[in-house]
Amino acid sequence: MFDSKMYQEVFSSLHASEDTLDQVMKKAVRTGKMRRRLFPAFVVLLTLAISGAVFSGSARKSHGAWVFHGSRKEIEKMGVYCPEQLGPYRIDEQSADSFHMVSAGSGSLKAFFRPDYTWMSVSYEKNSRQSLSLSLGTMDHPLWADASGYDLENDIWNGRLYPETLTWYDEAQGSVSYVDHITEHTYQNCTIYLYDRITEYAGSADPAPPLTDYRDACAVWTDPEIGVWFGISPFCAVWEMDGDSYTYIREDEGVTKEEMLGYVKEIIDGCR
Amino acid sequence: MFQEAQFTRIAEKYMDMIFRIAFHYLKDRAEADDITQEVLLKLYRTDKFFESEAHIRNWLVRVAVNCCKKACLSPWRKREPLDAYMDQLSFMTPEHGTLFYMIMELPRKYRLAIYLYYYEGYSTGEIAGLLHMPKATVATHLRRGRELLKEKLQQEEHSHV
Repeated sequence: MFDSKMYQEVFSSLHASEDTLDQVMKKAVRTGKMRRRLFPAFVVLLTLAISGAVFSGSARKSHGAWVFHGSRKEIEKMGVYCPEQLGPYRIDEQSADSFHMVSAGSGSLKAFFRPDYTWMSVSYEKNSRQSLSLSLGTMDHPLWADASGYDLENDIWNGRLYPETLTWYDEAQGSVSYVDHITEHTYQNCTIYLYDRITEYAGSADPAPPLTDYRDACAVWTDPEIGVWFGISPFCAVWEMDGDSYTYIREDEGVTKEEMLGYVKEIIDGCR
Repeated sequence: MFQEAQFTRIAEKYMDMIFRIAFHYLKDRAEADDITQEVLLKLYRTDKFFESEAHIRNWLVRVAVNCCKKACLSPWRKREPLDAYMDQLSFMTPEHGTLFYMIMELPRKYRLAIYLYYYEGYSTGEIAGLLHMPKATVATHLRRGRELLKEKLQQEEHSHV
C-alpha cells in the first residue's frame, strides 16, 4: 500500500531556493514584460538560414577576427550573461538585428543569436573537449546551437564533433550519445560536419517510441575566412504548441541532411 | 497582468510546488531552481486572463512541465548527484530518506504522476488534462509506479535482512 502521508512528509522538505523570488524580480525588472513572439517553425529555421545576409551587414574585421555588433540592451533584456571564460564579447550600443560572439583569438569560442529569440541559455565548460552549449529560440520553437570541438591539447576550438562527449542522460540507458551518423563535407574551404541528433521523446505515448525514432539533421562548421563557428539544429518538425503545452509530433521527416547541407551552403555564401 | 504584490503572493505560494514538479522531472536541484524562476517569470510576464486561483495553479503546472521537457532537450545537462542533495535534506526518519531515493529511482513519467496525485491532490482526470495524456495512461503510470516502488522497497528490506 502506498503511504501517501509519508510521501508528503518526504517531499515537503524540498523547497525552492530562498533567493528564487529575488532572482525572478531582478530578471523581471531587467527584461520588462516582454510579450512572447510567435514564429512559425519554418520561419525560425529560415531566419537562421538567410541570416548570413544580416551577419555580413553588421560584421567588421577587428584584431584578426570578425566581430559582429549587437545592442547591449538587447542582450541584457534577455537576461543573458556571458561566462567570463569566453573572453570579452564585443558589443556596442548600436542597434542591430543580431548579436554575435565570434572567435577573436585562440582558445575562445563565440556564438551568435538574434534578439528575436526570446530565451537563451549558455553553459560553459572546457573539460573533455565538449564545451559550450548555447540554446536559443523562441519559447515555442526552440532552435539550438551547441558548440563543440574544444581541442584540449592545442587550446583551440576546431569545430569538430566528438560524439563520445556529446551525451545526455537517459533514464533507461544511462549516458547516451545524441550524435550519430556524422558525415564530413567540404564547401568553400569550410569543413562541414553533418550529423543526426537524437532527441528525447517527451510525448505522451505509452510506451514511448525508441529514442532512435527522433532524429534531426544538424550541422556544424567553422568558416575560416570569417572566423565564425556555426551550428544549426532544427526542432521545427517535432514541436506542436497547444495553448500552454508543447507536444512532440512527428508528422514529417523534419529536415533531411541534403536540405541541411543546402542551408549551410546558403549561410556560407551569404556570409562571404 | 499581475500587480507586484499579487504576483509576489502567488509566487510565494506556488514556487515550492513548481520546484517539486521540476525536481521530480529532472532530479536536479539547480535545474529545478532554474525552472522555478523561468516559470515564475513567465507568470509575471503573461497577459493571460486567469479565471481563478485554480486556473493559475493548473497553468503553472502545465508551464512547469513544458519547461522541464524543454530543459531535457538541452544537449548539455549536468546533474548533481542525488546523494549530495539528500545530505542537505533533513528527513524525519531513515525510512523517509529511503522513500525519497526510491521515488527518484522510478521512471520520470511515474514520478510526475505520483507527485501530482499524491502530493498536489489532482485526480487522474485532472492529471490527464494537465499532461495531455489519456486518463487510462495516468492510471497506468500511477499503478506501475506504485508497483515498482513496492518492489524496490521490498528489495531494499531484503538487502538489510
